[in-house]
Amino acid sequence: MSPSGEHAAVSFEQKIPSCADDAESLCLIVRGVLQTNGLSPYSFPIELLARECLANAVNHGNGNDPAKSIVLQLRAGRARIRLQVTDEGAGFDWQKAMQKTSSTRKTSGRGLQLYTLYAARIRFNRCGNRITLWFDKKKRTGNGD
Amino acid sequence: MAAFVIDYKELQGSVQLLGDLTAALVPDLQAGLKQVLHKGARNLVFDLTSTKMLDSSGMGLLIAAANSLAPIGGKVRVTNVSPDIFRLLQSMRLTLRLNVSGRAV
Repeated sequence: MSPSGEHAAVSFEQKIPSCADDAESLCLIVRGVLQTNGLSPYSFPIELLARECLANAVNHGNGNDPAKSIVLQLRAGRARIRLQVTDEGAGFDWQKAMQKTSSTRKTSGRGLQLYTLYAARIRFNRCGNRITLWFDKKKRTGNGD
Repeated sequence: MAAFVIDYKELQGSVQLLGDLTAALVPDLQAGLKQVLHKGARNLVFDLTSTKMLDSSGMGLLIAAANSLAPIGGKVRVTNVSPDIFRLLQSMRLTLRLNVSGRAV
């Protein structure tokens, strides 16, 4: 068992160039990995978290620079699923960003809100160019069911 | 091939999504919506029967459509959403703003 508590029954890693098309393809691969490994009940939240992490990495982290790369890691065990996304950007002030809320009229700025909605635990590295999210299988969605 | 079909009739635009409403689709769909709004649509109905995934970019598009129609008294309706998407929109406090309804059982 890893220090974070998840048995690595499923372990997947992929590196992509930092561009939207590659990010979209990777999201569909993640969906396939989840569905072919008996993780369909968690497919929606995990794919959504992957999409938001990858979009932030492409657009904000790597500044839409296709010369830079993004690495996605997915590990699933009995109790938890861990998703980690790393970009090559300078990072950002994640503590400040996590405090922001979005009104129902705002058309952007919901990515980080979605992390807190679905993830049981969120960890950034010091500079903010790597995010690790833990999803608790017992808590399927962000609203408690 | 575009992953949506847009119809316009008697001040009402209807958008049938043929797949997911995510960042990959948003630019094309935005362009299509601009045309139907330009024709004079007052209300927009989004049918998500075939949609399994909605991300923050897709939500942003739906909110932008609602914001565009509000000044002329128009509304957006989002219909036939999956249980996962309904819960997501509920958690984001958007079900009333976007007039969201789920799929019939």
